[in-house]
Amino acid sequence: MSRIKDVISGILKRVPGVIGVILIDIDGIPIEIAGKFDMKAEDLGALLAACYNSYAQVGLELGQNLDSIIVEYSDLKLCQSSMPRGLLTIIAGKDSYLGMIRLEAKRAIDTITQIMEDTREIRKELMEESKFRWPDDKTIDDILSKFKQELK
Amino acid sequence: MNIIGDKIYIKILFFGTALAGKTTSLQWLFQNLVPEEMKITDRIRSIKTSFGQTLLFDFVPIQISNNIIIRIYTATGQDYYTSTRKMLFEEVDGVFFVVDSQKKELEHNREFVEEFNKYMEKIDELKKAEIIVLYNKQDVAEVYDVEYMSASLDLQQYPSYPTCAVSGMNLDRAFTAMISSLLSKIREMKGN
Repeated sequence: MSRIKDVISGILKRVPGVIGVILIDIDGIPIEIAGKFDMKAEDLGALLAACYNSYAQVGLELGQNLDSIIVEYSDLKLCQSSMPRGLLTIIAGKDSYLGMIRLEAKRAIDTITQIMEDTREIRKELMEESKFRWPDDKTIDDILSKFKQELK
Repeated sequence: MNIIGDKIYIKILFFGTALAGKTTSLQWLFQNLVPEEMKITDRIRSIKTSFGQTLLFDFVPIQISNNIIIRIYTATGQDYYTSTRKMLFEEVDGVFFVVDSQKKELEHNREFVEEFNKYMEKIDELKKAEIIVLYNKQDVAEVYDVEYMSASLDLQQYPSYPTCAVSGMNLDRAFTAMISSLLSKIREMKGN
C-alpha cells in the first residue's frame, strides 16, 4: 500500500497548484489521501462517489462509459477519474493546468491499477501492513453495552 | 462489509417512501442514541432539493470501535429520483425499510416493496444484508397496525418494530438490534 501512497503523494509534489489527491473505493470509502482537505475523508468520499455514480448513471442511459469528470469551482478545479473498483480525485487551484492534471491522473491510474491488480492480494497485504485484526469478543460486547446503556 | 486498511466498514441504508421518516429517524438516532465518542462528524450531511427533501442521500459515518466504522445513508424516497436510488444499495450490509403506516400510503408502500424486491434479485450484497422493517408514524391518526401492514406488504419474514421517528419510539431498539446482528456477522467472519 505504501506504493499507492507514493503515487498519490507524487502528484501533489509534482503538479503545480494541486492541493489534494484522494483515492476512494467505488462506494466512497477513502483508501489513500494526500494533501489537506477541510472535510472529513469519509464525508468527502461519500459525496464524490455519489457525484460520480450519478454521472455514470446518465452515461449508462446514453450508452456511454464515464472516464472522468472535470468540475470548475470559483477558486478550485476538481478532476475525478475512474479506475477498476475506485475513483481518483485531484483537487487543484483555479490557475493549475487541467491538461497536466488529466495526464497525471491517467498515469497514476495505470500505476495504481497495476498495483491493485489482484484485490485479494492487496487486501491481504493491507491487513498485514496495517496489522488488521478482527475485533475480539470483548470489543464487540463493549460496543453493544454502550448502545444498551444509551437505551436505558 | 469492506475491509480497508485496518478498518472494517459497514454500510446501513434507510429505504422507504417519501416522507416516511427516514431522515427524521436517522436524525433521532444520531442525536439521541449514538454515544458522543462514536461520532466522527458533528452533523448529518444531506443533499437536499430546493424544497428541503432528500435529493440524493443523507449520510453520517460513526466509529463504533477502533476499527469499525458504520456508514449510514438514507435513500431519497421521491419517485422522481428512482434512478439514483439503486446505487445506494451497492455493498449494503443492513437495511431499515421504513414503512409509512398511514392508510393512505399503503399502495405507495407496496410500490417500494416491489422496487426493493427487484433490487433483492439483482444485488448480491442485499441478499445477505440484515433487513429490519420500521412501521413508522404509529403515533398519527388513520394508520394500519403492524400485523396488517406486514401481511399486506408481504414483509412478515423480516424483524420489525412499530416506530415514531419524531419521539424515537422503538428506534433505539431497532438500531441496537441491527448493530447486534451485524456484529454477530463479524464474529462469524472472524471464526471462519
